[in-house]
Amino acid sequence: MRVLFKRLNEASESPRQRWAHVITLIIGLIVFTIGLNIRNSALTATTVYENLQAGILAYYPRNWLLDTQGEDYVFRVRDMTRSGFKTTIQISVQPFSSETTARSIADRLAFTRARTYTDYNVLSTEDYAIRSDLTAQAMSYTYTMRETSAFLQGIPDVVRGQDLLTISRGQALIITFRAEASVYESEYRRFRQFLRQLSF
Amino acid sequence: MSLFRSPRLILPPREEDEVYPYRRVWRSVFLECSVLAVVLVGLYGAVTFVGLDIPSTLVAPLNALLVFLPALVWCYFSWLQEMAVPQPRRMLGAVFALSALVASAVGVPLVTEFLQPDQWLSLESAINRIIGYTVTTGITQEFIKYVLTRTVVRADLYRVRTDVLAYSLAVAVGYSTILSLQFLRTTPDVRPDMLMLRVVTTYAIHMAGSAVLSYGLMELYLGSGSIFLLPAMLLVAAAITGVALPLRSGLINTQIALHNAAGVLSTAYVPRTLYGVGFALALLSVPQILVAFLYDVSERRERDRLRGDI
Repeated sequence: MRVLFKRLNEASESPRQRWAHVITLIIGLIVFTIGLNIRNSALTATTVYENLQAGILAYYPRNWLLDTQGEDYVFRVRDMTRSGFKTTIQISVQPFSSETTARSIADRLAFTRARTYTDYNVLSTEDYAIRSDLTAQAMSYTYTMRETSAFLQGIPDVVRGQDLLTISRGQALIITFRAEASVYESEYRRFRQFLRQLSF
Repeated sequence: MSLFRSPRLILPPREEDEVYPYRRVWRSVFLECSVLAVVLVGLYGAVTFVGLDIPSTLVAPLNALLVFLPALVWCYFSWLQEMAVPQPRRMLGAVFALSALVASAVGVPLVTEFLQPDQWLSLESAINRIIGYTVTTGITQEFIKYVLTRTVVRADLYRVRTDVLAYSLAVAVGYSTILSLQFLRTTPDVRPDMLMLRVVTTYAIHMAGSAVLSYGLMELYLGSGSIFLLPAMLLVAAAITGVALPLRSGLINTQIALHNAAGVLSTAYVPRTLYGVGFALALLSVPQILVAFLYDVSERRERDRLRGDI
């Protein structure tokens, strides 16, 4: 570093040249800051989704693919720009009776998935505060996902997921987040943002 | 002894040819670009049109050679030639090596791991992508190259106008080599012709950006340009990257639709990467020609000014 400063001082530059460099540095940093701002705006940009029947108002990441035609979910969005497993947020609604508890729904879900998914493994089950006044049952798990077509001969992706189970207006709401295990932590902030803006 | 006289010559003494003591940079740039263009067109034509099937055992070594081809060509036509002239540009090799190191340690991680423009720009409109790439990837790369040139090359090393160009292009070659290497690392199974297309486009984008930036530096140190010319050239260089990156992916991925004699749409006649090759060749030549013109104008203006002073 000392050599660098010595080198800078040695350079015989006129005030015009020095000012030009100062202006260039300032403009470069300003444009870079604008770039960071645009990036953050794009990453947090959302599109609204409203389902009056299920009583859901959600803001999902812009440019994610919306699917509301599934049999076992009312809402699902996927990040189609991801290669491999597409990061997914989905909401399912199940009927709820007075005998049922959130824990029993979680157990039933785990039992069903263990038969459906390869290497399905529950990591933890704990309470999760969605908002200060709303707590859910959180179940974290992993499984492996293969390409649909066997001819593609791809290596299976390790998928990590989390289900949040909560009871609202006589129905059980299951909010699911899934991402490839390697990007799970970095993608989880999108799920947190989704939860902050979710109304049901 | 006083009778000694110098021999009377019938012919006037022959004037010795003036030796230009520096390497001619534009000549080297022309040769380097020509070699890369020939290899690109040859490889692409052989694979796509002739149907050359490169054995799978040769793909990996060929890819490794192609990634380093711009650096090897630069070493031969610029760096080695520099050693053979009376007044070489001493810092050229150091600038090249430092550029590669800084790109590897700062530039590539900053763009691919932190900014990640491909993650949030790929589905935006064309204008948004151009602006997005300009203010992220473009400004980051050009700013790093500018700071590197500014700190490593002292002002007194700029003796003639083409000195600025030579150092800036050395930075560009070092930086683009690391980007190409990064591409090969992330996609090791890429076909050699597609890799060459990527390598040449990356090289051309950086050559264009650095040549434009060098014009701003040259006018600052050896010309009489405004103090706002250098920041303006930095923005232009960033904009070149911003325009070129979406165009590159758009042209390579877009199908070319042609009408045959019956008026039926067909895409079978022209490979869809053909536009990409044309774009790479245009990017390799047009910006360099424009910057060469600007350098020429600057030199002429200086000559006219000196003639006026005399």
